[in-house]
Formats: sequence, structure tokens, C-alpha cells
Amino acid sequence: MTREVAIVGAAALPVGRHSPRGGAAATGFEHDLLAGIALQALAQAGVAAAEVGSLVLTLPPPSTRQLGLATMLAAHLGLRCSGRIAEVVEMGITGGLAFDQAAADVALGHCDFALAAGVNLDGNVSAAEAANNGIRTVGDVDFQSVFGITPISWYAFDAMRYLHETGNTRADLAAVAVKNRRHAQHNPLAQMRGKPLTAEQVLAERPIVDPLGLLDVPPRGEGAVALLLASAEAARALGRSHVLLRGRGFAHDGFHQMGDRRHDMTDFVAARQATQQALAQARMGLRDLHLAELYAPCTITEVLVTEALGICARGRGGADAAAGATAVGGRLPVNTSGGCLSRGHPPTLTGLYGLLELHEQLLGRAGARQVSGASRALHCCELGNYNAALVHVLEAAA
Amino acid sequence: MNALPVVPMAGARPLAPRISAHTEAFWTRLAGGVFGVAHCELCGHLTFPPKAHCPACGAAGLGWWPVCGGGTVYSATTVHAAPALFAALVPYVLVVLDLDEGVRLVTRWMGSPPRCGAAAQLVLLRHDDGVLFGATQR
Repeated sequence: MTREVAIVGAAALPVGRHSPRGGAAATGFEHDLLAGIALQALAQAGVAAAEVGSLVLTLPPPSTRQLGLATMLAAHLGLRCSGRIAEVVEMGITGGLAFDQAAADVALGHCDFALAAGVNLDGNVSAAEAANNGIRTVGDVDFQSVFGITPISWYAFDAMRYLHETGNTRADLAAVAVKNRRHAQHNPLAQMRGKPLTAEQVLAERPIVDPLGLLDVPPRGEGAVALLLASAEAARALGRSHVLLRGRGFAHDGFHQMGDRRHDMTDFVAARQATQQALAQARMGLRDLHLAELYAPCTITEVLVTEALGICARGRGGADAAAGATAVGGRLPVNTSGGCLSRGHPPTLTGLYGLLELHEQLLGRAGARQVSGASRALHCCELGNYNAALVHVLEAAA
Repeated sequence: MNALPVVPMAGARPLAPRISAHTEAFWTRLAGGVFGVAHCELCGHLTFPPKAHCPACGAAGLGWWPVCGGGTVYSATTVHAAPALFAALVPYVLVVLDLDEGVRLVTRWMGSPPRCGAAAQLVLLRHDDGVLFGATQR
């Protein structure tokens, strides 16, 4: 049994700092913040908590104080799940994975309504302490992590090689940061709203992992987000505008960060394959899309994924961002939310925030960043060095 | 085959590798100046990091293939924002290295940051508490 799946509600906290600083009382604990957001998503759809059959959360970061969040939240909200209660994880793909699992539960008939949600509060540890864990995720602990290879070091390797091969410069990469910051100015959920940015500022910032500087990499961000999914039939019965899941693709290049043989680390093969699979299922081509949200923690990552997908020609990702081809109003707007760099990047949630942005856009609710006439969109998230990619194609219900 | 050049390192390793029954031989040989990649005697596949099973054919009990130590830098970065464990090393340089035998690995670079395509040489890093490997300009 497989059924068509819809998104009928979506809500989120603005990305930013939500955990308390220096002994101050918390504005809310993990479960309280997430429950509030989940209830907003339910209210948007007019669905009662007792109707929700699956709750799929993103596994919170290791420093999270309150664990066991999925059953805790199910109890807190008064869910009576017949499908699944779970927390899912694998690096950056985690948010997308929660959505994917919730969608599968609906498609398989395990439930009519499913919540895909998560909360990411990790401000209780410094970036340097959090990175002690991060290095164990993105490498072999005994033969790679021992050198202090941080997650974004892998994107830095990509960047150094890409600049070497294409003759691009740091200024070409910076165009992505500037374009996405412009998008974020109109996104109420964006961490960097109200902070316009120039290429000169990007280039003048201190180095983090050469050739990437502070503004080529994401700020630390916290958040909470919930998407409510439904069977298309249940969505129609609600009588409210909604978005349909038209296609899904997943691919893995077979590597953990990199292979044990020479290969082109700057070609995101998995992203291309997952996209082709999802578009084929949706019976669409790239040209049928009106916008895309592409998981890209660093400037180089957006350049490489836009090139892998064929949105930009090889060596042109930065130039296309500078020329506005991937900006709102351009050929195919990418990361209208502001993306990881400016909407913000609570790592476990980024996939869900990206899907929420597409939901807003496809329902025409994106305000000043609205892509005019948007009815079809693509979401892509990834893990490792884009070793695996998960793609969903969405369309506004007629 | 010449032993790897030795670079004396001040202090202990920031994060020491664990030793398993399988990987112990790698570190013992490394301490003697020999860098061995894992070698499948059944299908001939060379792989690194070492694994207990061949990623190409699944065979167990991989042996060690001593490499000459020469290679080419595929890419490099300098880390300025480090994990707490590595704070004392900042800035430190990392490279993706293609060994002459065709195996790709990632390691620390000793010296000023290399360009992509630079000729490289594996080295033995002798810390107070044990050994690691690294690479430097050839």
C-alpha cells in the first residue's frame, strides 16, 4: 500500500540563540519549545493531536540535557500513535530523514497524519567543545579524527581543490554568502535578518578553515521546527491549501567523507543521482522547478551542489550567484530562506527548515522573498561531504 | 625501502588512536618507520584506514602492504578554529594525500601549507606518548 503524501502544516522558531546564557532562566526547555511549535503546525491544519499517528523527531545533539524527547513529546501533546514514535539521525541529512520517515509512515498507511519535528539546543557547550564530538562523526576515529579534522574542514578541502581546478577565487565563493544574506533579510525565521552583507565583508573576515573565512561557514544556531504530514486524501478533507510530495530520491556515493582511491571530491555525484531519481518519479525536469532549497553549510557547498544538479555550469556557481541567476527573480532561485549561512544552521534541523521554506513558498506565504508563481520546488539535503543526498520534489496542490 | 623520516613532536598526541588486535601491527610497524596500508591477499585491494574486512571483496584477515611514502597533495586546508582538544595546535594544516600506490588518505601536514598537486612524503611523528603519521614537502 502506498498513498500520496501532503504537507498540511509547518511552524518553527526563528533560528538563533534559544538556550539561556550565563545562569539566566531558560525561555523554555527543549520539550516545551518543541511542543509549542508542534501545536502551531497542528492548529494551522486544523488537526487534533489525537489524530497524529506518527511522531518522528531528529535526534538532538549530544549535549542536549533532556533526552527521550520523542515519547516525552508524544505524552506531552496527547498523541496516541499507531504508526511510530522515533528519533532519527545521520549527520546533516537528519532533518530530511525525519521528514522522509514520517512521509513513509503516511504512504504505507501506518497513519493518516504524521509529525516530523525536532529541537536543536546546543548553546550549553562552546563550538570548540562541540567540535570534539564533531570530529568523531566525520572521520575514522583512530586514523582520521586524531588529526583534528572538523566537519567543515572537508568542505575546505573541496574549496581548495575547486579554486585550484577552476581558477575561481574566494570572491566567487563570497557571492553565495551575499546572495543568501539578501534573501534572509525578508525571512522572519532567519538568524541574520537585519544584517546586510557585502562581498568585501566576507573577504575581510578572519579565516576559519582556509580558504573559507568566518562568513563562508555557518553561524551556530538553535531552533525548533515541526512539519505536519497527511495522506493526500486526509489533506483534501481538511479543505485547506497544502503541498504534495511528488518525488523522492536517495543516493550514496559509497564513501565516508572520501574514498580510499583517487576520485573527484568536488563532484557531488549523490546529489545528482538522487535529484534525477526524484524528478523522474515526479515526472518533471529541472526546468519545471521554480525554486530549490539545497543543504549547503558553506559557500563552496552551494557552489558545488548547484553545479552537480546542473543548475549552474562547472566553474560558474559563484558567478551565477553574483549575477542573480540563483537569487529570487533569477533563473532558478536557490535558498530563498537565506540557507545555512543566513537563515541559520541548527545542524539536526536544517532539512526541516528547508522543507518549511518550500511549504511557505508553494503556498504563496513567503512575503517579500516570494518567488512569483512558485508551484514546484526541490529540496536536497546531505550527509558527510555530500556523500549521500536525499531529495524531495514538492508541488502546490491545485 | 627506507624508513620514514622522523619528526619529533612536543607533548602528547591531542587524541590518541585506540589499538585493536588488528590495528596493533600498523602502529608497531609505524613506530619502526614503516607505513603499511591494509592489503587484501585474496583480491589485492589496498585500503586505508585499515579495516578488518576487505571493502572490495569482504575477505577477513587483511595483511599490510608497505608503501614507499611518496605521494601527491590532492587538497589542503589550514584549520584556524579547532576542536578544544586541538586548541594548542592552531593553526594546523591538513591534507588529502594520494600515495604513489594509489591509496588516498587524510593526514596532518608539517610545514607551510602546500598547493594542490605538491609532491609529498609521509613522515613519522614521534610524540611523548606514542606515534602518529603525517606528511611534508618531498
